[in-house]
Formats: sequence, C-alpha cells, structure tokens
Amino acid sequence: MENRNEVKMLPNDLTITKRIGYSLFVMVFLLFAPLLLGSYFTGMFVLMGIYTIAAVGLTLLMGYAGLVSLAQASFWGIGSYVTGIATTHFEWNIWLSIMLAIIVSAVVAGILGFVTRNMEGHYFTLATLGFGIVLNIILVEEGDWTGGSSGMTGIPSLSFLEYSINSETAWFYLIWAVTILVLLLFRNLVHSNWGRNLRSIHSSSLASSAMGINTGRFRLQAFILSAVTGGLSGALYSSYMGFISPAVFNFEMSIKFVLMVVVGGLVSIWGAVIGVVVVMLLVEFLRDYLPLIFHHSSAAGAIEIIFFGLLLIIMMIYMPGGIVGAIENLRMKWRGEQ
Amino acid sequence: MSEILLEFDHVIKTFGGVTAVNDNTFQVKSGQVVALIGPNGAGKTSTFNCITGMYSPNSGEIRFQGKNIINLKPHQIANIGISRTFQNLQIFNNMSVVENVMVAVKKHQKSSLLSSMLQLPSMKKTEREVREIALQKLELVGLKRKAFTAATDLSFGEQRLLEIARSLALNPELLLLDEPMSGLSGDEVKRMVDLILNLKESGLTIFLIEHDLSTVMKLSDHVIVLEFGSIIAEGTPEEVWQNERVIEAYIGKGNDRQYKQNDVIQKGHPPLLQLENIHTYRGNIHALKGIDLSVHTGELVAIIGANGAGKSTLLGTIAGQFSPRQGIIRFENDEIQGTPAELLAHKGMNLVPERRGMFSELTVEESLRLGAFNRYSFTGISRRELRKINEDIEQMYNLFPRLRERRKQLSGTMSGGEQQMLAIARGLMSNPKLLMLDEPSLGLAPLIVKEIFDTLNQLKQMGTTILLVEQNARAALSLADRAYVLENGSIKFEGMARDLIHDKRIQDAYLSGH
Repeated sequence: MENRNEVKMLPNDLTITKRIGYSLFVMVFLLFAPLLLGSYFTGMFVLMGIYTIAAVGLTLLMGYAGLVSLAQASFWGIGSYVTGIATTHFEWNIWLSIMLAIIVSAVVAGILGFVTRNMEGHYFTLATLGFGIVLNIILVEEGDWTGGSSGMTGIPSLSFLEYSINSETAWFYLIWAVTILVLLLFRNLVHSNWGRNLRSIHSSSLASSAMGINTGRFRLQAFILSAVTGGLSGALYSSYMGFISPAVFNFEMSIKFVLMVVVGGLVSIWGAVIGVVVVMLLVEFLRDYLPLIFHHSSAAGAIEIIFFGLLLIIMMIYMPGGIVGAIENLRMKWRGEQ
Repeated sequence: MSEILLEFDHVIKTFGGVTAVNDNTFQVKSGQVVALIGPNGAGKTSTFNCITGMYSPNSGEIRFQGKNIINLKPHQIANIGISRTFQNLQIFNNMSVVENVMVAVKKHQKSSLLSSMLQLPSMKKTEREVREIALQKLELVGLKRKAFTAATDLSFGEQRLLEIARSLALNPELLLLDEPMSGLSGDEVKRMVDLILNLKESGLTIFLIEHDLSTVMKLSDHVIVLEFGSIIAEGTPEEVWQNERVIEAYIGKGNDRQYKQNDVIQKGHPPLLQLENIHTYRGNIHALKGIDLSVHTGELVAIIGANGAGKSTLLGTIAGQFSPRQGIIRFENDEIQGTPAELLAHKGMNLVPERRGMFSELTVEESLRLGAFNRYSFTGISRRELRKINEDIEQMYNLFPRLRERRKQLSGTMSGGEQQMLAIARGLMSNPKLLMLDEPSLGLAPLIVKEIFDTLNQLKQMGTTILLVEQNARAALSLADRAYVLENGSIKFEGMARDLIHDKRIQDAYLSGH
C-alpha cells in the first residue's frame, strides 16, 4: 500500500491480504448462513439487511455531514406506502413501484432539505422530528389510500420473470446482495472527494465555504441520499412483509435507526451493519427475557424503550465512536505497544 | 505600475445600533502586502467578513478585479480568487493534514455523485493529482513531513501554517490573513514573516490583519488604521508610525482629570490577593508564564498590555474560570487556585467580564437584584437584608444616574456604555471584597469612558478594592495606584502608576509586541 504511515480517520488501512481475508469470511458466512440458521433466524437476517440499507444512509448524514435526522423512519414509511399504493391501488409492477418509491423519497427529501437548508444542528433535527409526526398523521388519516391505522395488505413479493421470491432463503440472498451493493457504493462515496467535502462541512462549515465549497448543495445531496436509502429499504420491507401499518413508521422507529447508527459507530459506513446486528439481537434478547422479569407483557415494551434510552446515553459517554470506533482505538493501542 | 486588485467603496455594515464598518473606502493594489490594523473592536474582522461574503454590507460596493462581488456567496468568492485564514483557527479536525489541504484543491469539478460512487479510474487519477498539489502546498509552508498525521496533532503554530497552505490550494489572487501571528512564539513569528514575504515574492497580493505593529512595519507596503469602524489613518508604515492619532487609538488618550493616587505600596498587612508563579495554559498555548502579583485592600491596581498579552486569562485564572497548571493564588490567606468560579464568587470575588455579559432579557433593576445573588439564601431572605439590598440598589442609582432613568428597561436594549455601567453596578451588588474589571472601556466612546472612570475613582475613594484590566493604558494609569505591564504572558515591569504614565517602555510594549 502506498503511504503506509498515513493516518486515516476511516478504518481502511488494512493490508490487502487481510482485506481479502475478511471479505472471504463474510462471503462464505453469507453463502451458508441460511443453511445454518434455520428459517426464523434467516428471516431475522433478512430484516437486518433491510434495516442496514436505511442505516447506511443515516450514517452518511449523521457521521459525515453531522446532521441528525429523526425522519429516517418517515422515509422508510414513504418507501413502503408508495410501493404499497402503487402495487395494490394501481397494480403496478413491483420493480417499477420500488423505483417510484425511491423517486418519491428523493423528491420529498429535496423539498424538506431545501426548506431546512439554513437550519443548524438541533433546529434541523427538530424540523425532521416535526416532519415525521406530520407524516405519521397523514398515514393514519388518509384511510382511503393507506388503509388508515389498520394498514395495507396484499403487497406482492419480488419476482424475476415467473419466479416469485417466496422463501426466506431466497429473500436472504437477494437482500444481502442489495445491502452489500449499497454498502460498497457508499464506501466509495465517503472515500471520494465528495465525502471529504462533506466531512469538512461537518468540522467547520465556515472554513469549507471559504474554501469554495457550496455547503448547502452538499448538505442537500447528503440528505437526499439518506432519504433514498430509507425509501429503498422501506420498499423492500413492504414487499418482504406483504403487510404494512403506520405503527411501524413512527418516532420510535426513527430513534431506533439513530440508535443503530450510534451503536455501530458514526466514523464508518460499516458501523451501520454492526449497529443493526447488535441492536436487533438485543431486541430479540429483550423480547425473550423481559416478559420473564416483568409479568405484564405491556410493561416489557415500555421497558425496552427505557433500555434503549439508557444504551444511547451510555454509548455517548463511554463509546462516542460506537463499536467500530472502540475497535479502532483498541487496534491503535495494540499497534502502539508493538 | 501596480493596478488595483480590490476596491472597497463606501461600504457600511451595521449590527443593530453598532456600526462595524463606517462608510469606508480603500484599495488594495496588486502585488503588495497591505495591513489592516486598529484596536480591539475596530471592525477589522468585519471588514474581512464583508470581503469574503460572510456578511452582506448595508450599502456600498466591493470590487475585485473591477467586478462587484457584493452579492456573491462565500464559496463563489473563494472560487474567483479570494481566500482567507481565520483568527480563531478553523482547521478540519476530523482529517489528516494533507486532506485538509485537498479540500481546497479545485480539480474535481467534473466528478459527479455517481462517478464517486462507482469509483471510476479517472477519479482515482484526479485524486492522486490533487494529493500531489496538496503536498506541494504543504512543502511551501514547511509542513510536508507532517502531511499524514492527524490535523489535531499539530501544534498551534503549525495549525496556523496549515490554514495558509489550505488557502493557497485555492490558487488565490488575493490572500486574506486574519491575525496570522497571534499566539505564535518569537521563532514562529519569524518563520511566518519569511513565509509571507516569500508569498509576496511569488506575486501574491496579501491583505492582513495584525496587532503587532513591529511585524506590520517589517512586512507591509501600505497600512490602513481603523478605529470604531472608521479609517483614521492610511499610508506607509513609517507615516502611520508617526501619526499621533494612531498612537492614541492604540494606547488610549490621557485622561485630563487628575485623580488622587497613592504613592506608596501599603505595607504591614498581608495582601488581599497574592499570586505566586502562576502558569496557565489555554489549550496548547502557554498563556501565563509565571505571574507574581499582589493587591492590597483599598488599592486600585491596573494590569495593562497589548492584545493577546494574557490579560483576560490572568483575570480568568484569578476568578476560577481557568485552572492554573502551576503556582499559588492566595485570597485572604486561603489558597484558592483551582477553586470553581461560583465558590469564589461567594467568597467575595467579583469579575465584570469583557463585553459585559448582560442578561439581555432582564430589566436594569432585575439585573441589579440578581447581582446580589449571594445575599439570598435557599430558605429566603430576612426583611432587614432585603431592605439593605434595596438601599444598595438606590446607591447604585446614585453612582450611575443614567441607570435610574432606565430602571425598567431591558438591559439588552441599552447602549454599550450604559451596559458597562450596569455590569459594574451588578458586580458591586454582591458586596465584593475584590472587584475585577475586564476592559471596561472596550468599544466605548471617549466621553463615556471618562464617565465610567470618574465613577471608578469614586468607588476607590469609598474604599473598594479594584483590579482593573485595560488596553487603554493612559486612562488606566491616570486612575490606578499601581500597575503591572503584561507582555506575552509575563509581567514586563511594574510600578506606581504615576511613574509609569510617562514611561517610554509602555509604548514599546504596545507597539512592538514580541
């Protein structure tokens, strides 16, 4: 590798052999996972892949542009409902519907991003929060189109020609192929000059505009990109589940996305995968054990929220770089001792 | 021979009631080094912000290469050839040194989002070229060997150099440097001067803000002096150096009042406040380098010195805002270094901060009542104490009659001078044993300064112990009993104020800096 002593703020200073090693390991795991996991856990991994797509976009927005959005679940919802409405009301082809879902997410994000273009930090976050609440109300109230609070059913599964993708295993391969593609595209993006410009805005928007960077344009592009991943993820989710309801696309889910990104680590695109896997496994664990501790199952749901709140606070204090950041620190320390 | 590169034409910029740039007109000629100087709050950085599009002026024109640039956005101005550095460093601290510079290299215009995502081979090639250019710029400023370290690991002086390398990566016609020397050590200043002269040699036009007049003398072809937003002098460094107005603007005008000053240091009693060998760091900067100082009860002691000498850090260290790394501070025989500010306030120390720290949403009377915070207890307040507080407020109105007229006015809506009076009165309401004032004359018109100094004199006669930090040395020395002259974080000399007032060394301390 050229410039071995280069300090990268991103964890990609692995040697090529190591890199190939890691990739092979992941590929072999992904190839054989459905055989080992059984259908319940395979299904869980499908959901993990879907969440990862949305979390990657949010990582770009939070970690690289420094903007916290509480509307990722809303774009997820837009993607789901556009797919649902296009396929059931208009009987569009599922692939075309997913394309439409992406376009609608991008357009909505474009408008919201333009309106909020001058808002700094918390103001931007509050604006996205407001947007999420309004969207949720629309989903519930526009019952003719969205099925109201009972949601929509009958969203078709993905299909290639006459082959419909029905089994958990097929979904697993498809989703993870898409997820890895998205991860690679975003990895390239953040390592390009585009990503560097975005990071400069995060650090000092004053200086980056003085260095000739149109900060507003980059911010808007990052927001649209994150919404597109949210939309794509939502579209795939609706097709996988076949059923959607507004209860899924609420503020709580947005918080969960933020939690996934923070737990995984804001400094790296790969943090999104790790964050999603860890948070999902935790949810699973809590679902199994909380009802044993608290005998009312309704209390368990509330406890889950409290638990996530605590986790978020603890992460912010002790592991601000998330799991990826902590691993990086350990590696630096280990290398320093050598 | 040299043509005009930048023209400032009757530009006005106001903030609320404050005029930061007052109908100013000047030119920067191609190939020259032009310096913009003036005391704190004169409007120097505001002038820079108007040029770089960060402020939009109320009226006037700014022309660059003959074209009006007043409606352009900051990034557009950067791309037509004006780049700048910042007084308060704006390094991209989430990147390596070379990446900082790469941000400013413009060679990527064609690269779209899509080609970045697909990482086309052409992109990789451009990226390599960009890195080469960035490394060249780093070599120019002598930072190449640190190119691949994290920007945050650079020393303060190196970060200043990095900002310059980054600005050069834009290939500007005009480089604006906002106090490039501030916070640098003597050696670093020499390196910076050489660098700026080299850049000039290579044909770059440089417009810089600087406090340190001796470097300005060495560097500049032309000097513009600002005070209260207006240009008060302009010319070659020699002409400006001789100009009495300029010297007055920097050191302040002598007060024509004769205040009664003590000639002898009070002995016998231990001092109220005593500092021994205090060292304070602000981030990487060694701001105070071994300060010894004492204040006796009933004294008015002044600390004077140029901008950046460490005056505010010294007051902040005494008041508990900064913890000294070394040394002892005694207040009434207790060692107080490292004690938090709020505890010291209860011990009878009160700091009236620079720029006054108004509670702008409170009225004058509410602010005064708040100033007596330490006299209220959690369980309430006795009727007797309440009556005393009311009497004290009355007393403040006698000291500052203007405040009585405005007792129901929101303090944020008053003029600067009235706010300063309120800040002092608020400080007095806690019945402090030691009142510390940080630049009470900052940004105020001479007449108001006189009024405030008259009141300080009255307070002194009433027995209040005051520690005063001032840039306006002549006014401070006409009022104080004793004074310390601070330069570069150390006490240069001290003495009875009436002896120091004619001391030539003071002018040197202000005008030559390092």
